[in-house]
Amino acid sequence: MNLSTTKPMSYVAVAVAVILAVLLPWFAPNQFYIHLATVGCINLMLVLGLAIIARAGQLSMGHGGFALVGGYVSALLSMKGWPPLLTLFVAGVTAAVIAAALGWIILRLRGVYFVLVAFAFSQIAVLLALDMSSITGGANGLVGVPPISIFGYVLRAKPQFYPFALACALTTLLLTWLLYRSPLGTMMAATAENQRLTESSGIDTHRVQVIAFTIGSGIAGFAGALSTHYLRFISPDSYTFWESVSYLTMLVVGGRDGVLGPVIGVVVLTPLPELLRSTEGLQHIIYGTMLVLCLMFVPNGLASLVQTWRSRQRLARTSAAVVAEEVT
Amino acid sequence: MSMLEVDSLKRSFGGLVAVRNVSFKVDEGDFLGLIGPNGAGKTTLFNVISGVLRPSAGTVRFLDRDISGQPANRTVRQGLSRTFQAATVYPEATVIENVARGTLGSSLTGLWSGFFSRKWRGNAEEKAYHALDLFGLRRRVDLKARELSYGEQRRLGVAIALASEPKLLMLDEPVAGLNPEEAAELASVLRRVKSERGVTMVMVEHHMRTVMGLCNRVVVLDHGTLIADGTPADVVSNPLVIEAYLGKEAVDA
Repeated sequence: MNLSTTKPMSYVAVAVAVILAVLLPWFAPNQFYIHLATVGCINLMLVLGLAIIARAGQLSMGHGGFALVGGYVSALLSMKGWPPLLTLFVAGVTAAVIAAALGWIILRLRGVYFVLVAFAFSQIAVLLALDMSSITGGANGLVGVPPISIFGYVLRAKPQFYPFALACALTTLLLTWLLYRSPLGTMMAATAENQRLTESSGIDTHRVQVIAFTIGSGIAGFAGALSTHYLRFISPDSYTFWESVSYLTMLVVGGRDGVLGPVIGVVVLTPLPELLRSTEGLQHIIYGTMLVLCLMFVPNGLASLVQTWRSRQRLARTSAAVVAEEVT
Repeated sequence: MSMLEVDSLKRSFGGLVAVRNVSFKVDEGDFLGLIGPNGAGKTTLFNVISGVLRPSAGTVRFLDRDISGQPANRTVRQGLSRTFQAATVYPEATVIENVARGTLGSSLTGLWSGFFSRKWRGNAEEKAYHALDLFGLRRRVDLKARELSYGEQRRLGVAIALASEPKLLMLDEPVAGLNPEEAAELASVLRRVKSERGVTMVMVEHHMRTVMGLCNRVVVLDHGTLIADGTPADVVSNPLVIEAYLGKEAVDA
């Protein structure tokens, strides 16, 4: 049996999910649903970025900080007249470069120390945005960020922006999936599971973690920029510590292994606050209860329910093979 | 030319000297046993040679290159691999994945290769199957490592180390905790690996029957100092060695 076999069933499931996402504007009752889907696409990119970092065994509590940096870089450059389609990528690269420099220094720190330094970085990013008011507009933020235009076609309204956000999210999803299957992705998973053993298999685990941190934070920068051009606005409040926490929540509730977890986490948790809005003051309590229940009963995330089912099949196959071999 | 030359190696932790001026050589084709009472500094010596710890003084040369204090991952890529006493596998990964991960460090040309092609996976799994055949784990490939018996996990640990295609393999207590049958089985696997792959080996081990059965040379460490170096027969009759293990009175008596 080949480890990498993907069942035809899952190809069908993926195709159906993509078609549903593409067709959403046609059956959405009103524009609010399209808005939620767009936010979901942006969240998915951010959570995938976080998942890549977690894949190599690190927890980034500064993820929002990189989105904030990306958002400001893209907003400022596009307000100077650069085409937003270009500044999106400049934002991603800027965030990635900062992450690489920071990662080289702080990834020597293990576990909780890394979490604290990444957290401190996101706080510094917020403070810089507040204090450098001559450039960033301070607490008022930047208003009137230009919309993205593709060959003269301006993505101003929600139904126009959604397909672009969806394309970005699906591309990120595909690249993440390819990354996980590649040697680098395998090294990342190995590093997370047993760093000492991976190091003694001849793999520079520090470098693997820095690369994962760079890729994940770069995606955050791109997604932060995308969101800024969608809302046409960015302020220091756009990506605070609480945004970092909510991406982490999506990742944990959805599941950390593979790309399915982030998708499920985003699909479940992005609309949840909106659905709970009618319950008035109870919404935070319900949200919190759901999180606690998830962590108690599916600690590896909702996606692990699918994996448990798959591994049962795998075990059944293996024991059948062993029995067959021992009988003959 | 010796494969591995350890020259007046020293390692201290604060005031405690764990390894004191130890020098020895490993020639190509050797199966060297490293023995000594508990706390003699055997594992520390292993850690310093393999690059997990930096030496406080002295040098380690491997294939005529100074490797003292260089990161463990580089040493492995140069052909010196090791196993650990505990946590030697990836518990949540399948057996085949465990060994496939072991092949990556030595076989890849760059981190970005294999992003769009799946050829690397086939190559890695093919190598892994060869190693698993050797260790009698072929039937277990689809199980998770944590689902294996303790003895199988120990064998898997050695298979992972061997997957990086080392010229010199250092084993840290490979048969510790195994029952006599499992220990004998692992010993025969090691003998086969040595003859089929031509891998030079160094082994820390308490289990004297395994050491005497496998090793052509034995060095003895006591309180961080090397006290004997010779054939197994020489070493067990060496008064200093008997003293280290049994105490002085036993020698006088």
